[in-house]
Amino acid sequence: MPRIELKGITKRFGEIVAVKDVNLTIEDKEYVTLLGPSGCGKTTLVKIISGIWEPTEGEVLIDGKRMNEVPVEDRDLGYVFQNIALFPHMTVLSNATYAPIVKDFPVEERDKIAQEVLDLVDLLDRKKFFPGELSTGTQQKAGLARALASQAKLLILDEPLSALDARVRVDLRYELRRLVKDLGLTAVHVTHDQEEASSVSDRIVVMRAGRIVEIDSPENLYNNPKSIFTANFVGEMNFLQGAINKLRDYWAIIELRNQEYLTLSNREFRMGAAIILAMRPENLRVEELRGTRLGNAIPGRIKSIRFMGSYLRYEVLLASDDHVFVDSFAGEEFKEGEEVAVSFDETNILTFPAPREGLSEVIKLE
Amino acid sequence: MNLGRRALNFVSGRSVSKAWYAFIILFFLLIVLLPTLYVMSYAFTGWDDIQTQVFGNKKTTNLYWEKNNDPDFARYEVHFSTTSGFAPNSSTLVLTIDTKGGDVSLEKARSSAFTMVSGIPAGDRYYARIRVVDSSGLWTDSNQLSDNMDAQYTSPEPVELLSLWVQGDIVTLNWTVSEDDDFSSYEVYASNDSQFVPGSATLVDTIAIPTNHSTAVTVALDEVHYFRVRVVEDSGLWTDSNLEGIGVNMPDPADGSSPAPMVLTRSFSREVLSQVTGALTLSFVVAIIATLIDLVVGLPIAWVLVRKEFRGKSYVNTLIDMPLAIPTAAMGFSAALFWGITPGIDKPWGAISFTNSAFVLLLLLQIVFSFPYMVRSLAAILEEIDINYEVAARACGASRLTAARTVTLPLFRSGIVTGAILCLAKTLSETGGVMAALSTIQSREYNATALIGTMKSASLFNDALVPALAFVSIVLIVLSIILLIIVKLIVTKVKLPMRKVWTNLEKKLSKGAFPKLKDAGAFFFLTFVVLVPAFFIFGFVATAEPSQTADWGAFWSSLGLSFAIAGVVTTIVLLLGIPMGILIARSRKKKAAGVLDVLVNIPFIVPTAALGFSLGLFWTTQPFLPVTADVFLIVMAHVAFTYPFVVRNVVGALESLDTTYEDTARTLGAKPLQVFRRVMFPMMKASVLAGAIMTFTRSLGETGATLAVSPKAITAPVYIVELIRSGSFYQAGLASILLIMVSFIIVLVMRRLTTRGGA
Amino acid sequence: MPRIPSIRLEGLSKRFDDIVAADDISLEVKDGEYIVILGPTGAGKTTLLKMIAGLTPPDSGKIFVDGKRVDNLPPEDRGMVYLSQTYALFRHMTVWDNTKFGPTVKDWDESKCDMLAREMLNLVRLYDRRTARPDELSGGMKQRNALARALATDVKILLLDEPLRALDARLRIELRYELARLTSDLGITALHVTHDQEIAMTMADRVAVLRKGRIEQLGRPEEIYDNPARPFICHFVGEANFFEGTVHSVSEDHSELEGEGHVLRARPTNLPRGSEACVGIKTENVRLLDGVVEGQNHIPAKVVRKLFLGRLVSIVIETDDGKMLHVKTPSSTGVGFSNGMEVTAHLEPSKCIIFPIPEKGLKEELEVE
Repeated sequence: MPRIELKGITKRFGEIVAVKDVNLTIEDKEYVTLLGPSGCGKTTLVKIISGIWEPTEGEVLIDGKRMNEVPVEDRDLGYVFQNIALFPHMTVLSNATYAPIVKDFPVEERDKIAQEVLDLVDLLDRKKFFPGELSTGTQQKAGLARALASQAKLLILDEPLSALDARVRVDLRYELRRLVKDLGLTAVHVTHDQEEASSVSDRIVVMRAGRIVEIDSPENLYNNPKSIFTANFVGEMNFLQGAINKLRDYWAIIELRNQEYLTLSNREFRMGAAIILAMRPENLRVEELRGTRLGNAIPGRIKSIRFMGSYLRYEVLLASDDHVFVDSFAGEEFKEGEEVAVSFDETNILTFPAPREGLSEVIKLE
Repeated sequence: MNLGRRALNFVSGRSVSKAWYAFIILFFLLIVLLPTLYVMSYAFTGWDDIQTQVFGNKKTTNLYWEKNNDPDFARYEVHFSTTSGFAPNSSTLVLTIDTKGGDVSLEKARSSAFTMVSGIPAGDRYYARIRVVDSSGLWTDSNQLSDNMDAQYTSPEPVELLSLWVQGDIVTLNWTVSEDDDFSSYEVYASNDSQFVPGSATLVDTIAIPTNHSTAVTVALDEVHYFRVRVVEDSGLWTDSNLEGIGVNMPDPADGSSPAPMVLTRSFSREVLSQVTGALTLSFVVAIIATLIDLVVGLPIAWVLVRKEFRGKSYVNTLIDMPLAIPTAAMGFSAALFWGITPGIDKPWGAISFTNSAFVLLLLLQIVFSFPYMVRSLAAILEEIDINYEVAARACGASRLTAARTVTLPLFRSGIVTGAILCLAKTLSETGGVMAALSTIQSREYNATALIGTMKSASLFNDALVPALAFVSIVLIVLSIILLIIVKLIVTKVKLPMRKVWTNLEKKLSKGAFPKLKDAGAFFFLTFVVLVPAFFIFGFVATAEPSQTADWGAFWSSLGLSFAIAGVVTTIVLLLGIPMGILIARSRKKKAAGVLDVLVNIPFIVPTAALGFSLGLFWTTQPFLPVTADVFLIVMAHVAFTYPFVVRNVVGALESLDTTYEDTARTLGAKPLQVFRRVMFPMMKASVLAGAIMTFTRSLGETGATLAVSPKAITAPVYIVELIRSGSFYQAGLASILLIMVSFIIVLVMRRLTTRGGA
Repeated sequence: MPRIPSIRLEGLSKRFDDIVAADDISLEVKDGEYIVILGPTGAGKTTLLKMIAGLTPPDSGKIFVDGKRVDNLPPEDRGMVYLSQTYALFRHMTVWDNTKFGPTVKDWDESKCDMLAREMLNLVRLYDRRTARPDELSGGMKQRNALARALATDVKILLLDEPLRALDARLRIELRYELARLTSDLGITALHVTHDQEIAMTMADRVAVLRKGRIEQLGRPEEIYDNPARPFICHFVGEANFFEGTVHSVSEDHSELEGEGHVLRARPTNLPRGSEACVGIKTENVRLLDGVVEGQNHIPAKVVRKLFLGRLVSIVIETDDGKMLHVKTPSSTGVGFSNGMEVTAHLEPSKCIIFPIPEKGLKEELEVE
């Protein structure tokens, strides 16, 4: 059963290093997503795993067997493409029968398999259609069926949802996760969309500039990212810059601009050290500005309110001259321009040492 | 608002642009399309002539003879007789030719003359003599050849009467030795009449030994005497020498000697209809087979060029493109020297020289010409096919070969159609190279375009050829169009075996030695069947014995003419083709644009020789403004057949150029003209330049259209063909190399200009 | 202070062969408003934008800018800039020349052209990259360059065709703030076309939902979200669960639908009793309760799948009769649920919207493509 190990994978295209010394193990039946901005090497890596490209250095092992130089057709996998790439001259059914035919499955099984996989993606009623007659979302479902028809236990999903409408993407996420889990497949999924990655994966591999930044479960990456880049990339994040002003055994006081302070538990801070505080918009709260300040709250003024569907987003200019977003599921309680306080729940604040190259450099997306 | 802006507004106005587009369409219809197809009208107006000449049991005869060098040359007369003895009054004058070279006015280069005679009733056997007449009216006959070259009916080669002198009443004559196998006797005739009319001459001596090539005869005093020496063979056939006159006791007559005799070297006839059908069959069979071979071998090469990365790929690309820049006359000559048995010269060093069959040679030749077109168009379409289809097939478990056969090939039909049509059109159209090659092996056969080229030259003197010419042109055009439609239908409709899978076989073939063998085979073919023959001429010139020097002044002036024509043609085609391309690609009326697109491509699939003939017919006969100026006709012909190159390139470039560039520019405030100048043109510049280079080189290298429209103007490739026809192989080789190098330089300079232009 | 122009469309229609790309579209855009036209692929969004820009002639209808009719003017004279989703940066020009293109073709004097280009490039933070060619820029930079080029023409109407589609998901979030801020700072009237409801919600002053060439609803994001005009919009903007049935009872402050084994209380309706209807409820408005809890609009179910989305958790539950319901809940409350758990879905009656059954059936109505 497919268990993938990558050992010291490096891929160069001329001068450009697309992937640098990547080590990664993907367990059997695991759904792993490679997540990162454009040009981070995630596509290169998945092409190396599937045998479309050869690594410049390093080893690809599948079930302990070295697979370098084994071409894609002999690696026993299903591949779903970003641009779908359904064979345009074949019907949906022929596309789904393609793998059974070229893999020389017994004749009587071929159609059965095709019917099965089309049933899985709920496309039996469209089997006579040509790809050009279908919407992109339906096409991609057929693409998924074609990949599944090879009966391989390894499924490669190379940005499978990028070409689709936002709303269709949401529907197909459920399908992907359901199929992979129900069929007990090992899946490697590539995307730049953190929400998509979170929703489908068991583990996410965050990549940047050809290297792996962090590997963890979606919940951990979202709630406890180990790096500032991940913190920013996986979901929106408010960043405040501050310095340790007072240090007690259990408490530390962080000074922000304009003599505003926050209190945090002492996380082995050093006195005077510059740190970055990070908090999710939904973990902040807009409160009425009372005369006295209680707990971790900083006064500010509401600059804008946006309706986001299930929640409201307040943009607040804090007294420390920082802009923060606060997401509230509670309905509209405050008005634009109103003086308010933003309260911080200490346990939901992440801290990072201030990076030498500056915050904006570290969280840069391109 | 300044003046420029106002002018911009004006030309951007709807009525002005409408008028401009109307002009472009009108130009195309009236100046390009109508003349191209004008010959079709001959099927109605000239049907009676076609009936008589083509279907009416007439034949054409090709005659080749040594060119006469008499400074006093006036004309050749072609005499035909039904009796081998050319008995007095039995012969007819069928043709007079007033240029020394025969059909083409390339006086200085040739050593032999040629003509084609038509309108002679088939069924009888004919004998031909060429008479050369000088300005004083004196004449000398050539030997006699039967029109099917049957040795039995070939008279001996003439001897030349060298000198006469008088001692008292004795005239001593001296002539060249006859080398005839069947030599029977010399007969010396004397007459008082310079015209040597039959009956007036008397036999004064007979000598039975060939080496006794002089005699002394006694003559009457105070008279002028004219002499001829006749060589008679055992069969009784004879040939007269030239005539020399001398005055005995009187001054020598001013017109005392007729031109030196010439030898009629070759003569053969065919019935017009069988000649036409033979030529058409040869053209089409060769075109179809060459296209199939191109396809089979071109596919692996295109595949390697597009799908694989290897060192030296750009060199291979250049090598494949190189034959495109070479004028085909030069290339045809080169390939014929390599493959063909050349009666005129020794076997060139390194040549294969294995065939004198016109069919085999033309097949090999057409592959050289058309192969680059096939590879280029296949590669271009392959490039468009998303590689992900192949990867997807392989990810499903298909081997490379299975993936290619079941997925890429079916998507590739349009590429195959384009490639096949391009190859067929090119091979059906090729004239210069074919004429050069057929002349090199002295073939008796013609293909359709060579027949048009040859007949057109001969038709200058022989009106009887015009109906036959029109007939060949019409049939060639119609069959070409039908063939191309059939190809399109076959390739797009016929299904490839899809469900069948030979998994294991194909898997085995996808790995190990087979793919390498296949690629190696394809590259071997490219090297030794395409490139080496195409460039063999360099080796030939380097190793051949330099022969007498040609008249290079004539060559340079022909080259100058070619360049001037190519320059003018390129300019016209660019000016009028670009707007047409824009009109087709950007018109909102999709159906009308589609019709225009089809129409524009018609001159492209009409073989240029037929196009040239048609166009010549149009311009010289249309009632409004008949034009006969050669250069004008050639320019118009070249414009007609190169017009599609530029239009196609512009359409192609625009179709791949997202309209949002133009849309965005418009909303940013640019007028249509500004959009064209600042946005569209810079983005499609490369394609336009490619079209311009193509136009220029094709115009420079074109023989068929040039000859068919005007056999009198000598452009560089025509000059080369003429040199080869007259057997001046070495000069032809040198001229070819010069033409190749000049073409190359032009292409390089133009390429450099484009790349420096940026984008 | 120059006036910010308004746009008015009257009865714009356009057909391509048998496809209706625009069906009698009328729309009034106020000065400085940011309108998002939201719809699935093929709804006719781009066609609408191109008709307004003058790049596609409408079959019928009128277009007014500031009360002046413009549909007979060529695109360059309409005073609006079209920004395509591929940006259409002229690849043979540098960033600087691209930005200067508008002013240059309008033949303004050189110093003004330079000034505008510099100003706009500074505004989008690309002045340092002014000598680069478009293919040397990242996706986000290209987008900003295209924006600078559009703004440098000094027009006050921007037609934005999916300007964020080509960008990475995370970058999209970043740039939508930037885009919204720029247009409001510069006092620009914008029509923005997208298929992404989140962009519509976050950027628009008003949203026009377009489907099959028709504007199905026009309103503020809250209205579109809370009071969708038809089931499609309820499902397309966010996600929703639907129940089909007949109107069981109607009263002043609520209605009841009977169907699929439940009697669901919903918002009031004009539909007569007994007529066929359906009830839609947004996934965010379904509340999950631990275990089986009896009550009004309570449906017992089992958790079958849980997807972590970050801020929210998406939970799929299966009711006793096999119907799948989608629920979205903030991560903090979603933590407690795991696969296989017995739960009760509570459908808040004031969030249950009742619609008549659409003509072609609910399934086709809800298709999002």
